[in-house]
Amino acid sequence: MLAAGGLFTGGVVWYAWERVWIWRRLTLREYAVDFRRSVRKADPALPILLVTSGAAAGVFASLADGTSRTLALAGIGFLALILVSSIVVAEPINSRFRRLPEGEVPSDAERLRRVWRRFHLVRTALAVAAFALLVTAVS
Amino acid sequence: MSDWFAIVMLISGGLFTGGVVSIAWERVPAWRETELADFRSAFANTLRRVDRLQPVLLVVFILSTVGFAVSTGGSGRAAALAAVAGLLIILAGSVGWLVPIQKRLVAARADEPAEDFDRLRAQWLRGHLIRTVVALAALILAVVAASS
Repeated sequence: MLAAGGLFTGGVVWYAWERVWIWRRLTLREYAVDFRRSVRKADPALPILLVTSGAAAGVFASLADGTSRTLALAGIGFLALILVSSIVVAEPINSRFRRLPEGEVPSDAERLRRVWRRFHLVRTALAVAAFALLVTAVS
Repeated sequence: MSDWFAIVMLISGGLFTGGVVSIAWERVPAWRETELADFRSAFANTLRRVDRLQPVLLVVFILSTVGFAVSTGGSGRAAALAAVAGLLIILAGSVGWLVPIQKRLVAARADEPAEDFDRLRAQWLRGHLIRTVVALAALILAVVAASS
């Protein structure tokens, strides 16, 4: 739960801190190429870490009681929110870039970049909160 | 008190290791395939951001793990001390080996031989992968320490 949760949160924070900052400065064509490649690498890894952490937290919550259980359930709630909102908001944007051949820019790429950036910053705050809750549940 | 050290240790450790793993997973394959000129600018941009955050997280991870080891006993202390040893190796390897390579890569002139530049890039990428493995081991040890 903690190892997978830490790697997931660290990965999400890294995207917010490094990639998002760099993507804001790229031309739309450069952004489309880099974003598409990046999503291809991140897409299998980060969701797997999220689900692994959430599933392990579910087992932990079922075995714990009192405050630990409450904190773990709150952490799971945040992780579920990240998962659902990623499927609803981020995945359609990722698909718009992924479906096109490399170097092609979707028609409303500037809006997609802005929406994805804002969503990712919210997702990052949720991920940090979820991980802090899970860590506190164990400690 | 050990609870507070455990919370700080696990949060800073998760963020630090997640960052190191992300670079190894996402950036390293991209950097391997880019032309040297493109690599240099992309590498410099990443360093500009990452060098502000990762060293701070590493130092907080080390100090909180030391604090946890001091305030607990038994197998938890042993695991925490093993994690500290790994983290000190990362710190020493980064300062003594990887940071000098980073500086040379970023400062390299366009007329320098491509073979030298390629050799330095390969060294840095290899060093970062070693750092990633050690960071993962340290995070797992910290989780084991906090859970015992």
